[in-house]
Amino acid sequence: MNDDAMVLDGNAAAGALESLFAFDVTMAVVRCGDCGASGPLAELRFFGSPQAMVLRCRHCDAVNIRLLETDRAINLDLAGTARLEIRRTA
Amino acid sequence: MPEPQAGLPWLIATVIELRPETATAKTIAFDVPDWRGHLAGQHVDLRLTAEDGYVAQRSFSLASAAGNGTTIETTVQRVEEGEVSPFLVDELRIGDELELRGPIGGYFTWSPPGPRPLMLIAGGSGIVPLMSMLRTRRNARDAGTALLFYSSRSFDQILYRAELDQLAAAPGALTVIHTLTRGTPPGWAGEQGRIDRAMLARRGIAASEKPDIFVCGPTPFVESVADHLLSLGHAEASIRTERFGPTGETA
Amino acid sequence: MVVTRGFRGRPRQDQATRSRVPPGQYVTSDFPVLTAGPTQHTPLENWTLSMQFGGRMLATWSWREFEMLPQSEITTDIHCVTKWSKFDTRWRGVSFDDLLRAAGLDVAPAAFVMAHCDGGYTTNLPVADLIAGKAMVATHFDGLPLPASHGGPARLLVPHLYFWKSAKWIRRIAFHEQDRPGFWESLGYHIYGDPWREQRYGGDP
Repeated sequence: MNDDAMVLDGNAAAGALESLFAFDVTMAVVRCGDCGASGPLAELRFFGSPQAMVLRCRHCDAVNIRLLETDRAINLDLAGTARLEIRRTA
Repeated sequence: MPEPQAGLPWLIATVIELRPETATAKTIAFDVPDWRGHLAGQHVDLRLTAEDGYVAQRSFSLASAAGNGTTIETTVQRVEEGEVSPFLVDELRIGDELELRGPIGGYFTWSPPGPRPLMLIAGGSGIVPLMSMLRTRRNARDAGTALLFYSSRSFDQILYRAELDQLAAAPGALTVIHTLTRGTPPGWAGEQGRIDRAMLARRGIAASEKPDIFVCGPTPFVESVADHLLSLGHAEASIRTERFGPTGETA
Repeated sequence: MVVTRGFRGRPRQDQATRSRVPPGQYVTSDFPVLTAGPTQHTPLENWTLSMQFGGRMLATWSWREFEMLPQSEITTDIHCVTKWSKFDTRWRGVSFDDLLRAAGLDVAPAAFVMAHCDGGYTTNLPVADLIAGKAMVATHFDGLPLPASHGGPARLLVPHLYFWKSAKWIRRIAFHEQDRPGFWESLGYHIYGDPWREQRYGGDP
């Protein structure tokens, strides 16, 4: 059964992460902790729900980032990310 | 010492205009007094609460041009059996208030001036954030090369058709290429069928010109187009994507 | 709470069945799904289910062997942490009690279980919440073999807890002396997950 369209890649994390960081984290380059592949956070494969997000590596499906939003807190799990590279803008 | 506030705040947005785009899609204009401005390509989250406390939240791309005004617009496509879109398209009234948070997303954004040529590729409602880019480009009087590929199922599902015709006709080097995937009306002069490698090779901006590329639409569309672009020699770093799809919350 | 005039949302059943609905839940006739990853498709000829404690394998069943175990049926309500509840779902599978017996165990070797699944998903449970008819490894839903999208060929079914504990694509049941958080629990979901006390997230009483 189809439901409304929603953003189905790492762009979906932008709302929750928007003011946790001083930079736009969807622009950051994620290096997968499992296979080493690199790419923008925005390009990760999205699973879960807007409140409980799982972002997986496009190459090997390993969990790179997890995010849980509750009334009390935003929990961010970067354990599956070997490295987060935030490039300076010009 | 004040508590750090994590997470974007929810603002109150008031519906000030409703504009049908097609039989199944509507542009909604909101007044958001605390709006801090946005870039082309960004989106907002809308949160709707029923009387019994049930909450639904969805993301919608901003269609209005970048800027700092307090009026913003999004275009919503009614999805069959959707939970939120039928309400927004069929039931929403001027004066209604919704909770909204944003602007969200810096990855899928474009700001003028170029300097690089701009190639936009839209599948269905993926046109919405790309329309924000084209409106922003028009407001900035950016005259750099720009090209839009826009795939729709049928003629009557094309969003912003009249405005796109105007933008293409005005001076400013914008080319609009429509393609229809499920049948064309008599006298159709546009393309037919899915955006494939051959169409991109024939009519797209060449990789040698190093365009900035934005692709938006359903996941299979975006992935297929991105693959074609890579095979045509476009650099991965110059292609930005945003994938839409059903939420898959129920099966 | 800012109510949106006129918004109803997905059809929800009303208050006649209030006492069956845990706090904060809404009733649907759809099947609520929360995925943590891509649907797993394990061919039956490769499928095994094992029970393990420490380094010791207590039992392993192939699909054929598993199908031969005593079957139980249950009709029950299920409650997803996404706030959707579904009444009267019908399942068939092997009860956890029968699994223990088939493994030659009168009693579980330790007080806690970690369920391990294809795709890497895990969830933790006290053994006390699995025995005495409270749980099964389910292979059929609504009379038909469980589809992969719903956790087939076999999923854990623990309907008295939030449905994330009913792990899809279960392959290994590991016993532990201590309770340790699984996939969602380690992110911040409640370690136990009782829908009647609305234990959705860590820190909920």
